[in-house]
Amino acid sequence: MEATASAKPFTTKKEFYAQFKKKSVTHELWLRFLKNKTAVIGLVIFCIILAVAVAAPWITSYDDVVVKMNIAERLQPPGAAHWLGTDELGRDILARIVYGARVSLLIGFSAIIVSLMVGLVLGGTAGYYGGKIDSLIMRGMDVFLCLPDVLLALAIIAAFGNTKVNLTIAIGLAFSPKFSRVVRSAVMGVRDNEYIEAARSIGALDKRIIASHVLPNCIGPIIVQVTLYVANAILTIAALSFIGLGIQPPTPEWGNMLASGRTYMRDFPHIVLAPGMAIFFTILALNLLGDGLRDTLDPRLKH
Amino acid sequence: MRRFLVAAVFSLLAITQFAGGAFAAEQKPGRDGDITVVQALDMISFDPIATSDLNNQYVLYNIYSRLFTFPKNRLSGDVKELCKDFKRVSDSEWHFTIWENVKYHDGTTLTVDDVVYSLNRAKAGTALGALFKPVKEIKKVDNKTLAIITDGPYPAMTSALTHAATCIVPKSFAEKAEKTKDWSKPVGSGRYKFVSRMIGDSVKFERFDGYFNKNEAAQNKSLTIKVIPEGTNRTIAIETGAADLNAEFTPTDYARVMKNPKLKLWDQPSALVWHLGMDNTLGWFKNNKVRQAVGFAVDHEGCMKVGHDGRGVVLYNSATFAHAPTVLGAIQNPLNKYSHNLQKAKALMQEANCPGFTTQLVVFRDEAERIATAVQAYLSEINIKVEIVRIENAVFPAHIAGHKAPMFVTSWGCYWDPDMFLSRRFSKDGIGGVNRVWYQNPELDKLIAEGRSTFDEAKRVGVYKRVQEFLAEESPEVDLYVTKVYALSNDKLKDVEMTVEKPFNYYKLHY
Repeated sequence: MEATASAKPFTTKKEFYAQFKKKSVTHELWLRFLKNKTAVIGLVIFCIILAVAVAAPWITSYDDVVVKMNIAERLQPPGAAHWLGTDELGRDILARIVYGARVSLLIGFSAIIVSLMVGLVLGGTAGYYGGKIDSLIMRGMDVFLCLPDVLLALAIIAAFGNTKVNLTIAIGLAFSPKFSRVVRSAVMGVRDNEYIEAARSIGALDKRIIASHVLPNCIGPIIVQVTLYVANAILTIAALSFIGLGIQPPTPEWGNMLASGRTYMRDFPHIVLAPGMAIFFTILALNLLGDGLRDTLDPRLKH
Repeated sequence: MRRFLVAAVFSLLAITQFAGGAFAAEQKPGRDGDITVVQALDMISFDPIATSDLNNQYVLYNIYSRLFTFPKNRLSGDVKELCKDFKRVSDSEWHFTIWENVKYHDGTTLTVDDVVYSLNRAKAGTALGALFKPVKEIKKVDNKTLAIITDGPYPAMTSALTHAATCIVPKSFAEKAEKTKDWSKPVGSGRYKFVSRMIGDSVKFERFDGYFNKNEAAQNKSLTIKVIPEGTNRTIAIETGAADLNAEFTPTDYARVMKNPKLKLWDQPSALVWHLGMDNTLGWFKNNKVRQAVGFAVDHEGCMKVGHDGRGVVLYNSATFAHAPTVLGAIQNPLNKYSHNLQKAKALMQEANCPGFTTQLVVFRDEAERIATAVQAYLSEINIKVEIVRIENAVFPAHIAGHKAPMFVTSWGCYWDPDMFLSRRFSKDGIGGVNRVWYQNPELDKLIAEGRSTFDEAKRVGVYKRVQEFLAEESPEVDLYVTKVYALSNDKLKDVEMTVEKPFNYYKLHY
């Protein structure tokens, strides 16, 4: 075979043998992901936010800076002492943003784990068995899908109170119908594949087939949905906190920072600008990351 | 393309100018204006005895008439409305003559029987029950006169008759409304007829041309009272012409408003006491040492800065007395007992053997929520962990009644005569009404009775000094500060009048 004009000539033996070495799927996906510039930007922003959230206790003091009131310093504009200024109670806004990231990310991810668990069980069962079981589960999910996420979460919080655990469960349950639908369609796509037939033919139990063969092969679209819905969950937390039903003061959360700052918005815009931008960049990062992952994991977009 | 861009930029500038500065609609001068007043909270009920909520009262004053209304600053004596004349027959009997031929909005005539019925109804209700406790009997004397008989001297009688609960309702209408529990279409003899109400949004009235006192009839054709909970949005409503008067201006916009020549800020020293209430029957709040510790731990000045941008007068009272001269015999810091003193607060907690505890602080307004956030921070210093709970104002009485408000921040519109509020706020008679702290003490009851036993003002001042000192020790609540009353209008609106609580006499507003 003749070498094409664009083919790169091998200069070392290592390079020559490398062409026969099989690349791992993960490595291949990573390389494909890196080609998507916007997705990489999303990943970088998200990693920065995550790092800030994890390192918060080393960056600033919760008791002395984040929640401690300092009336003499209230409503200070951004400056050397307070990079993002201070709020109506004289607390450092940057410190509160940093700790707010912990709350938003923790509850956002935890809520999605809850909805993923529910979605995997219900969507997996509906998709795998089909028929009446599918109809029963999915019509139930359709009923919940009719309700806006915030309203459903609101109803749960109103009934059980607004602790962090309840908030996580409320948002998780509110998002679970969507996950059930995604998981169901993914499961339906693989349930008739030959390897599933093979597992059935050797007498494997359904729960083992679902857990060991079906779900691992559906993981791609599920990961994509996780990143996209974490963004939605963070927005929902912020919305609930904004209306006073989410995270309660003095715990900083971007939504409750927006709510308490809105009175001063016209004269001290930095108070709402900072949490607003924090929400904006987190959602942007997660959406870019989610879109990038979808492109990476979609075999149709391989080339 | 360039022309298009220039046109686009100019259009945008024009729109911005219009939206930012100009008023949405020019109001008609004279008596044919449509006036819109904005306030923070919705009214609760058209039943005059249903609640003592301030926002509710200022809506009711427009539909119903009372025997007396209050003057601008409540210092210069009560103003006669339905009452044509009155005299104190003896220390314990008063006679009131009413105007004849007063019509209700449905065309029927107001009678002495209606007045007797309405006042008896008020006496039986929780909103005014404590205030009418000295009243033994209300009876008809003749077709123009009624008598009120008390169990002794009652200096606050005419002041008590200014309360919204004494609004006169047609007996037949009220009996029907009570039976059907439907007060949604009120009938009164006030300056305005009810048109419509959208719960949580607005109440609309139109001028009642049959109002009995033609000289005091409404100076505008219609009145809309609109609810805008957020302070800055109420300011924006005035800036853009969406409303004519903001009855509850939030001082956070003070500097901005002062720079705008198209706006006018009205102010008046107030008797509105912002206070931190505690349910004296719950947990550690039963202990007056703990209640005192709360008083020392909270920085009143700090609360005023956060709540009302520092505009007001700090109080260290525990009896809801606003500062003198707005309240008879008021003392800002009885016994000079209180200050922001964390060491003292900690010592009191130790004295009470209280290791600290977790509690809830209930609020239903933006200012109260800001104050609550400050209180939360102050109390954390003495190991009291506070969870802030925001509720609707309509359910606040139910929270109080169900002991579901261990702490709360709210305001109390004080009266000049302390007898108008002391028994309602700190005795058994006020429970179920406005004794929100559930405080009762026979010793205090005796002092309250002593305060009303004479018409001699000097003697009464002495008694009320003892009352304030007694309550400073008991500390059933922590009074934080008295704010100024502010209202905002455009510069063209005329005859805005203020009381010590908020703007009133909306019927006078015109262009």
